[in-house]
Amino acid sequence: MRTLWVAGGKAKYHKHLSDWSRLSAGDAKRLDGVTGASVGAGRTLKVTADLADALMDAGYEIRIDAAVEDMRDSPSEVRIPLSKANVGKPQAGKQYIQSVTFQLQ
Amino acid sequence: MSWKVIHRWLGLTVGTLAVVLGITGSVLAIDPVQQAWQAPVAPGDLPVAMLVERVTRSVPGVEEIRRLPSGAIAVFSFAGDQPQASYVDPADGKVLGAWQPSALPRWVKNLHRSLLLGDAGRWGAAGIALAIALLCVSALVLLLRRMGGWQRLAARVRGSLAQRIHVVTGRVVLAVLCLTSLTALTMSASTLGLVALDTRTEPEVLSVVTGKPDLPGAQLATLQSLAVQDLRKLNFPGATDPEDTWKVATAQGQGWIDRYSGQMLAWQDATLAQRVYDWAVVLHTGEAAWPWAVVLGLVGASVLLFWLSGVVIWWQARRQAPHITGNTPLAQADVFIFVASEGGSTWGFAQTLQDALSQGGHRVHTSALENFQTTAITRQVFVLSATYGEGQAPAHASHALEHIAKLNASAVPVTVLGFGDRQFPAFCAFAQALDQALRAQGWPALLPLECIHQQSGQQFARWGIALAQALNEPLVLEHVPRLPPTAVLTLIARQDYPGVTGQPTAILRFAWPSQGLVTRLRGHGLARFAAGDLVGIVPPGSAVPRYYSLASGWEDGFLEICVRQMPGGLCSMHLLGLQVGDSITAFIRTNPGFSLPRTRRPVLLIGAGTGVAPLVGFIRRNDRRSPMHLYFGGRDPARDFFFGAEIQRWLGEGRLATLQTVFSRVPDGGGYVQDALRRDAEHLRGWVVQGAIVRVCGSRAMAQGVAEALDAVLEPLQLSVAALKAKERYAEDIF
Repeated sequence: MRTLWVAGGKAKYHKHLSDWSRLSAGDAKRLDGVTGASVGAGRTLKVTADLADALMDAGYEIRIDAAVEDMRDSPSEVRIPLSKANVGKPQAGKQYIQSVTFQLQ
Repeated sequence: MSWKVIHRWLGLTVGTLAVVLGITGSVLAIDPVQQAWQAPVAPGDLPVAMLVERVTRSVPGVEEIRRLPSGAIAVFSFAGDQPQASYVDPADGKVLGAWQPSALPRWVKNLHRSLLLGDAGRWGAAGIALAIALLCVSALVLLLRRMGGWQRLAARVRGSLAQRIHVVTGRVVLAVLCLTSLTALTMSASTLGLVALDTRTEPEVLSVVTGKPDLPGAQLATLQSLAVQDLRKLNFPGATDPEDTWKVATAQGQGWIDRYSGQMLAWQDATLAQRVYDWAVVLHTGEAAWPWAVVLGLVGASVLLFWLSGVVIWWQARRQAPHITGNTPLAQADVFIFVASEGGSTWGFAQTLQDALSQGGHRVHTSALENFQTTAITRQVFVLSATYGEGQAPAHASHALEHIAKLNASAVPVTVLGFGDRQFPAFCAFAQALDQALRAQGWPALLPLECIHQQSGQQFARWGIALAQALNEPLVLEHVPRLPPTAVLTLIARQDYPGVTGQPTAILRFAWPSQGLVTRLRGHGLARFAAGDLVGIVPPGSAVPRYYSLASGWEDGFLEICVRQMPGGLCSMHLLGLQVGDSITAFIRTNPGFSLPRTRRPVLLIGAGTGVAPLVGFIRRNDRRSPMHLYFGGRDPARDFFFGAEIQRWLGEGRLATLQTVFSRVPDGGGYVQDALRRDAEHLRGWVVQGAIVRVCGSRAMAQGVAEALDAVLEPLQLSVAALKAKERYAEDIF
């Protein structure tokens, strides 16, 4: 379990990203250097992360929790297996995220 | 810094932004009201288990049931891939329609809480909330000062239209506005991370997979014993994760329930900070009770009214600010005039004194009292000082006494002239304190302390004569007061009395022109008035107004005065010469110490001659039929029983409870009004014991006679006129 990015720096709202909040609770450094502003409606968020090659096609997945004020929380809004086959393939979210794509550099 | 300065400048600056928050807050109050009639309120004692059963029967794929603050039930579900949010009827679980968090565009809320500026804006909005809280506190202090304490908070508000709007609205909404700003600060503190609502992590609990099927929500013991009124939200365990749990949130805390066994796996009580926050949200948004949201909406809109009337008040005060012309620089002046003024009128007297002294060849420097000092070439110092409230210094000179106490006295004479109103128990109290402090320090005086009553130009001129003698210089003090805006009044009726000693008298009734709101907001036109206030009339050929007590109030729809011909009196001659249709220019001067508060207590009205006029005004407006008792002293019932017919009629209508008349120039007339008081001592004592309010109007000699007679009457009660005055139960209008 590794935190790639947290959009929205307010700790008050982190519990609404419930899966992440629960799974990363033991990681004291989960927010180090990976937080930014929250994302408004209709905007695109681009995140760059450094991942070891060994993690590719090794059963890991990218999970995205989403939450919107006053609306219901959406844990695991998106789940994409971290495999070469999925590179560049857009995947839609359950409720809030239109699509997610990941690329290798 | 004084409260007044804080209130004014905070209001003028941050107040503009507070208007934005007020208006947007007012708009946001629409949501709770609108939501209240969108869906029925769930019965509070309905078990959550039963609600779950009804909902799951009619809605597939439920993820979450929420009891909204309004009491309605919203359900979140998935219909295939499509997320759904709907209101449901708690009676049968049927879907009523789509749910959305707000009917308003998002930017309204963002403008309200962050001025559309993100986190920096949130700090800004919190700062504005703090400023509003400060404005509320300073407003309360100023309100109490203006009204004269808690007991008089509900009394009638006087002043210009803008002042009345500001004070009356303030009296009503101050508490709510203060609450709103404090709850806003509570919410900001958590959003800005100053206070953590709950630092605990959620417990790591999982449903224990035993191979048994899921327990239906309706059979969970926890939900069977939980009433809907305590529910916040209930999350169903996810379909894809066998270890997922039920999660229930209430006002008291949250718990996790095993999906197979129905056991409560963990419970976390809500923290104190969380409960305080929840209350702040309810109080700030009105989301739980739409009538409160309506109140909040109105209070939000009132911020605009405060700001507008506040700006007008500030503008009016600025116009009246002092402008001294022909001022000599401090270093070259041989005469200093120091001024302490509350309303600004004392500066006008200072200007008159400065002009007269300058004409006599002096180089005069006029300044505010807090700048008190002398130089090597100073020959004379004059201090012209008003008094504020119960003997305090006018705001700008609040530290003048301490400042003067630090100076070393010199041989330069310092003469104090006080300005005040005898209606108030603390008549010229600050001027007296100043005079005593100066003498105690060893400053000599050219003239003893003199106190000018109600800005009397005549008294000021007499002081000028004494000053001319003391200085041994020709000096005339002819004070021309700067007049407030005047209105043109037209005579519509007059009632003539022959009088007794060749002094004809008339009751004159005037109408005023209709005035638009803009005129009144700007403080132009005729100000509102009540019986007992004064009308200032400037006769042709003079610049000095004469004041007459008003026998009617604004509500009566006419302005009435009683004018007696004074020997050589310019103004009375002019007024008595008026024909119906003629007009005069006039303005209103309030007489707050004398006008009658709303009361059901007995009211003793004692008047002689034309002095009955304001008392008549009180009786005319006695719609509540408070027990009013009139003692009227005249000379001859055939010649000077002013308002006689009306008084008799009001007696019949119950507006006047009892009437005692005495006439001094007819046989068996009963003597003077004070004789009637002595004869009626028993009644008078009874009324005073019941808390009677006393109003006396007439000549100085008459007022003194009445006070002596009443002192004698009240002695058995161990009361006195002075004691009644101190309790603001006794006031005189003397001419």
